[in-house]
Amino acid sequence: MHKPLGAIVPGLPQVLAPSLSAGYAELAKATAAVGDRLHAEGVRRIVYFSTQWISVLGHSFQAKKKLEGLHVDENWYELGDLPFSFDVDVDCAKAMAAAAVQAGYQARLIDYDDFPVDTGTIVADRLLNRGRFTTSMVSCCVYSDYEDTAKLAGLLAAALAKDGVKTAYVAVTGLSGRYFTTEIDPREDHLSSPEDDKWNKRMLELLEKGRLAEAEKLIPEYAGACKVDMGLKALSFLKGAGVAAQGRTGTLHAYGALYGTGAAVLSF
Amino acid sequence: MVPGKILGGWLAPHPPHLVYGENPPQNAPRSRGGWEPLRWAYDACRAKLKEQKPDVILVHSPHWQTVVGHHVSCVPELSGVSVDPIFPHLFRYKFNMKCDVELASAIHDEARGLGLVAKKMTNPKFRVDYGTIVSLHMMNPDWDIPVVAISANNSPYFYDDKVGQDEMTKLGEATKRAIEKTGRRAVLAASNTLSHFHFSREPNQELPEDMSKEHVFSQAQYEWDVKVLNLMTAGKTKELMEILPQFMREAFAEVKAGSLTWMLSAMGFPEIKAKLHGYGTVIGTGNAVVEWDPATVGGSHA
Repeated sequence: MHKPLGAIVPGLPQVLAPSLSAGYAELAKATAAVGDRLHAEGVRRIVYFSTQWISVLGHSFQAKKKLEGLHVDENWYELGDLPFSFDVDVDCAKAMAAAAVQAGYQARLIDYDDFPVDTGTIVADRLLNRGRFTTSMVSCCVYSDYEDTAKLAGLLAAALAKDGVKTAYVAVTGLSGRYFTTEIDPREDHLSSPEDDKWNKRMLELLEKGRLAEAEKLIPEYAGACKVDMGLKALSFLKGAGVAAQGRTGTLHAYGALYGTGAAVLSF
Repeated sequence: MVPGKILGGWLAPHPPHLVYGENPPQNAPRSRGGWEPLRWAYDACRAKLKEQKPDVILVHSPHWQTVVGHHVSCVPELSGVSVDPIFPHLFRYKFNMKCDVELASAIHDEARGLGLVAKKMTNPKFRVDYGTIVSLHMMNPDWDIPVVAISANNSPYFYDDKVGQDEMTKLGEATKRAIEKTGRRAVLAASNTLSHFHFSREPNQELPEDMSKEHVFSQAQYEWDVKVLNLMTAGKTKELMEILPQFMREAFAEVKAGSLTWMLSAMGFPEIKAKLHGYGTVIGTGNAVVEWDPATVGGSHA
């Protein structure tokens, strides 16, 4: 059986403002290119795991069929409003929630008007989707650690494999998380710490070469040194879903800075 | 102009469960009640505000977390439906708030004058966080008093407790100056829970307000809350501020976000006895409604 396709993509709103910086434009272009590739490969559904959609009492699964609204980022509201419209695969959400519950996880289906979809999912979907894929969203439970998240993702992927809809798994996450804490000129955005830059590149290189096990061993040190977004838990979701695997090489499409933090577009 | 002054400060916790338990018309979900001791405690606050008739309520909320400086709401009106992303089954609240833009701008300017990074939030479509809304609703469900919403800069988490609390102390000073210069009669709200370890599963998904499932997360956490509340009601503010970092570490206290420090700083870290109106847990976290009234030297347990 073929391994599912997937990617790591950034989720800060600067990516949707390519005119501000060549680096932002590169990340946006790369994300869009990954969307094109997924489409060309016959993907019909994307499951998003965004580190910006947090849950604390178990996992949540988006289940509102036509999820529409307007979001304003709580930090960078001046970058503009973020209208969104998702065609959510409700059966997919139900299947994932059922699989989670059956395995002892607490799960909640989310079906509410005005639900505040997180910036990361909106940013990623705007660039990847463009009306081509149905979507599903799984929350990032803060009390589910790396191993637990991987286990859950495996259960979800197994459940979705049954309906025959070709699915890609997309982790919306940052890398190093050391923001600039003062206002900057976006044209001069760069990694806020040279050490963070080195670490990000080291980890990305390992993933490009398919050396997942080595990368995983380094995660605790990397997370501690670079304030990594949710301790790179998003990678565990891709691992569990079968996207990231030892020996499976990744393709790095773009790497850069978003307000000092690390951001990459890496597909498998 | 008569210089403005701070009429009072409130520790005003924001679990959405409190609004859910009350069943106000603004909130869509319906409940059978729940968390009454805390909701009854807020009755004292509501009555006090009716009596004082402040010009403005200022609220500092951990759920508007900002990475670049301290932000203040600088649009005349914010409205919409606030759905809590964590507890959407409990909190889907239709809100409409009038902002005191002049005061908010003054806080921004004073904060910058003290060397802080500050920013005016001017997007009228901004979605107000549920922490701000819950605290404000529980204090004043009529929403007939203008407000200023202040973000929680994440410096306590990004750097360390000392840097974070120093920032919040300066922000409090800036707030005080702005209130005085604009002539406002202001009430402050620190939208913070105390101990903040909580359950990782909803105890009864069929009945979230099942009070038979509500209890303190741990004895250690409870004892921390009692210790902190005793210092507040004894008026030992200096001692309180000294142990706050330890409280944050050991009880994962939400005061780490800086709201309480901001408020007490604005009030000059008053060595007055606070009045405890009520304490209770929400999914295991410790919450208290506590009042600092500069006009009284009394206090302690209501």
